[in-house]
Amino acid sequence: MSKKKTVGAIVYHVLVAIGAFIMVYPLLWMILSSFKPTNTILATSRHLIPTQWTLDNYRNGWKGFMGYTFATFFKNSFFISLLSTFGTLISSAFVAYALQRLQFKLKRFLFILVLATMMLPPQIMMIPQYMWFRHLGWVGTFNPMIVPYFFAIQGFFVYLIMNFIGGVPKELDEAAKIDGCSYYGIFFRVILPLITPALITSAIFSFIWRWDDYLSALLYVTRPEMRPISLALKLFNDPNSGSDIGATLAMSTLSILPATILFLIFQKSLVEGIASSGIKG
Amino acid sequence: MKKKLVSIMLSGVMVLSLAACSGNGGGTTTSNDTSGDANQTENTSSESQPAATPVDSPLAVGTYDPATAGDVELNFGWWGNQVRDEVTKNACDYFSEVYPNITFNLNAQTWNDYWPQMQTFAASDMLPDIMQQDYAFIEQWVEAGNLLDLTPYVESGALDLSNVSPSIVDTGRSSSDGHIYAVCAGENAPALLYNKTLTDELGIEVPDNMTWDQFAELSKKIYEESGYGVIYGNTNSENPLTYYARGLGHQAFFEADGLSTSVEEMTGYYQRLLDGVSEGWMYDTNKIANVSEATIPEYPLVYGTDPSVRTWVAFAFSNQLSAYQAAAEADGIELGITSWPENNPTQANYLKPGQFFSITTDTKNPDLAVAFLNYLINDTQAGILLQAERGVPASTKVAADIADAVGEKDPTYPVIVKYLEFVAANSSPIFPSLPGYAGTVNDDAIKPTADEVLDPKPSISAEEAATKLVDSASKIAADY
Amino acid sequence: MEKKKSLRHFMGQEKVAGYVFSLPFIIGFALFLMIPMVLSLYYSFCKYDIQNAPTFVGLRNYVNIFQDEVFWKALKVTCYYALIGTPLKVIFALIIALILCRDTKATGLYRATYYLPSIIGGSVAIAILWRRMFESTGIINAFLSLFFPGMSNFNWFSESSAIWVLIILTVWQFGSSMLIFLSALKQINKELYEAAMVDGANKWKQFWRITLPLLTPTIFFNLVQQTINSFLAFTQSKLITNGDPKNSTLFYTLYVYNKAFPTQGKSQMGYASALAWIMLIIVSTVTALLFLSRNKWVYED
Repeated sequence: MSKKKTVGAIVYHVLVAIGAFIMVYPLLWMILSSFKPTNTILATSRHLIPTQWTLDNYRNGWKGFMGYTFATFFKNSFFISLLSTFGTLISSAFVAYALQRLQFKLKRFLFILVLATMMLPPQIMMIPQYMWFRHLGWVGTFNPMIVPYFFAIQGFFVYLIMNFIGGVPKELDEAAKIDGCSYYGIFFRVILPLITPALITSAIFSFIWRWDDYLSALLYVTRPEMRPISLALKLFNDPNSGSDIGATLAMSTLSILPATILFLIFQKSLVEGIASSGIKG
Repeated sequence: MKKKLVSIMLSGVMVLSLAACSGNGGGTTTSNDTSGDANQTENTSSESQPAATPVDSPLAVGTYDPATAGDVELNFGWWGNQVRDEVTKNACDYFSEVYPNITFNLNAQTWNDYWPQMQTFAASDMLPDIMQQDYAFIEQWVEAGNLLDLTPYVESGALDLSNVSPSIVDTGRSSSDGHIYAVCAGENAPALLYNKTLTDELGIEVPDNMTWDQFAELSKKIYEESGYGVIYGNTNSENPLTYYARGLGHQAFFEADGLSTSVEEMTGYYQRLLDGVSEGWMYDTNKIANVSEATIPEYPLVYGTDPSVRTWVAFAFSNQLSAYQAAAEADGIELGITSWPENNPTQANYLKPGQFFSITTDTKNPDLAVAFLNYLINDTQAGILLQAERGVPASTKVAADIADAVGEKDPTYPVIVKYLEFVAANSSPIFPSLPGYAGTVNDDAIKPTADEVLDPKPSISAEEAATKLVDSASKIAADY
Repeated sequence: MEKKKSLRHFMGQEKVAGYVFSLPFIIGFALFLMIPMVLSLYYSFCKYDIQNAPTFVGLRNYVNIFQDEVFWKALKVTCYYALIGTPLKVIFALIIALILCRDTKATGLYRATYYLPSIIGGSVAIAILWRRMFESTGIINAFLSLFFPGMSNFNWFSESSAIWVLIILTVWQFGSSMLIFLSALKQINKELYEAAMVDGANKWKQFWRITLPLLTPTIFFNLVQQTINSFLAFTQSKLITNGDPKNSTLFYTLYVYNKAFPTQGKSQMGYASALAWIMLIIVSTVTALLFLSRNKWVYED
């Protein structure tokens, strides 16, 4: 019995590890290629391991553009992503609670609007949004990339969190109500602690999306020192000239580090979540 | 302190050293004196009193003294890459060293992102003071009223174009009113870059001024002996067709109501593509899609593991030689440069302004922007700092003065200069800048038609393709 | 005192609390979405090059769109991509989530490696790499030719197969759906399994009777979200194939973008806005159909 179990475990690990290798092959390629001399990357693209290791790509890439190094771009990206993620989380959880648990007249209508926000092609909102933000005097500031997110404008997160609140047994609300909790109390004391996994999932997504967003940065960032990573990376890829592939890969590698670290830190609490936090209560 | 810094900076500049000593004192002290409220007074005095004599300045700034502008920030936008960003910033920084009251906000994007961004800025009157332009789009930006008419400044001497050949100055004129709206940032020419290592190996000589038939024959031979092909005609750009029309002796490709070329003439062009694909040496759409032309290091002239995914030529422009050669070195290839093949090649070839600098109507400091533009065009030190990255400087004086300094850094520079001299002797003037509707023709007619013709199993004849192109161009022109 | 009490009473009402909690969205929608949406709806009835003021042209954009071959092509390509890519992606995400749900020492690492691809999908680096991998002399063909010798020179970027390069890319990025499945799996009450075990149900039966039904809301969520995402996909097409060859990978949004922001020529913002509104109608119809099917298969307690 236990022998069979060990064999099973080995088979499991071998298969999962092979799958994992196939999955991350492209990433490994990117990371390892960033240590190859830049002019050999394309020619040796079928070999994973560099024959000649170099840090030049990191040096050249980090220099950035016009006197602003990637330190500046990282700082900007962190600032934008962290703030907008924070705003997204609180506002979306609020709205999700209302739409999932409370009864009021416009609920159905609001839910449809929330869904509709998921379906808007962002490319087309660009110009009208730009006109509006310009009217507000926000062009050239970080506001357009931060403030709207404090107002739950991404239906995806509202919907995602709604889905999780739906998984919290209603009896818990009822019990709290009997204990004298208001709707506000229920939200903060019962619901919020129980949907931690959803909040962490949302935080990861939101952070990465804001981190990668370059379309709005393109329009609203008007000064080189305000550039986030996403926009800076784009500058490496000018089709009309020789672009530095090595530097592109090196800086791309650095740019995915924060998200990767974030994921590794939080994935544990992500999966523990409700299961261990005593839903039986 | 500032004075000292400036003179240290300038002492390195041999060409200007004398003028510098006398000039920098005046320049910087004035700026210290007036940096407060001079801003307002300046704005009103712009065109009314053209100063006839150049300002006594260490830099070639024309007739307006930037030191009197007060504290101003100039916005400067261009598309480019890390190298161009760096050299442009250096030129701006140098200007700021001499005129500490002038600072710069530099906005560099890639080609693809630059135009959407500029269009958005234009929609809200936020264009940068100085804006890099492309020859093809000038007319459209003039039409929209976004570019400042530079003619008065040229006439007053504020913008000195006396060292720029008249034919190059003319490229910055709008065909609608004949006024100057843009100044050439560097000269360029269509250039056929080829794999010289390969042709040497095959014992093939690539002659200058090839006709199309010679080229086709050569390409066929090279394809049969080595497997290397040719990518041609697949772009959403008018370049290959314009070149073809020039070979036929036309004076423009886009006319007010459509193309200048007849259906019969265009049939000849599409027949080339059909023949090339059926003979195997020209890439069909599927083969083109299989290789990436997105960036120069990935272009099949300089990259590819197998002859079936390689080309022996690239239809490029002269200022790209440097980037192509750098990419080719990884492969151990030496590149050659010659003219694009065309019937009547010396008529077809032309000198082309690589990029332009324009001043936009959104600027609040037109005089200062003009002075800065004058510096970019006429100042030798600016020329050295800009590294001829945008092409050989339009000012013949600057071009001559910087040759050694730039050639030392970039070994392809003398080759490019030599090629441009060859083109100057073997070419006719460039076509007028494109009418506004041309861009839509490129995207909606030229590219789709070429795609159909270059299909591995084309279902369209050359004549049908020609009819389709000519008709849709007329229709687009009419709808515009 | 009285007043304070009544305010408290007022705020305590369920319907009032509902509006209070929804307030961020109501404000946000009005301020940041509705105004731009109304503007873009207006533009869709205009000829508008974003530099000159829009001129009203009535339904002309819409009429022209339906006669536009490229519109139909882009729509076809996008539907193909969405209808094949989405189910594949969701199924993959579910299977891998089930596999990685069990806790071993290496699980954290596994989850990270399976998740990572989804965070770099839009990057320039992936665009470069994806081309390298799928080019005819690339590693994919080298691998496939071990099993199918005929594949050694297969052209992935030809008109008929280029879309698959993009479909494979999207399926590869199943990480975010997987993550949602993983957190949903953890939300399932362990007691249910214990009870089932007591009843003698084996793992297979537990999956079909407990796990799957309880996951249906999450499956539904992922399906809706990924379907919408596929219809709105943009970056991959722009960076990797740019619609080539012959528009066989021209995603709808890329077409919209090209009309709104052509690198050359004038913006056709009016036309692009009309295209976007048609897309909005299509996506909402598809989403509405999904919601209509919801009662048929989604389990709710």
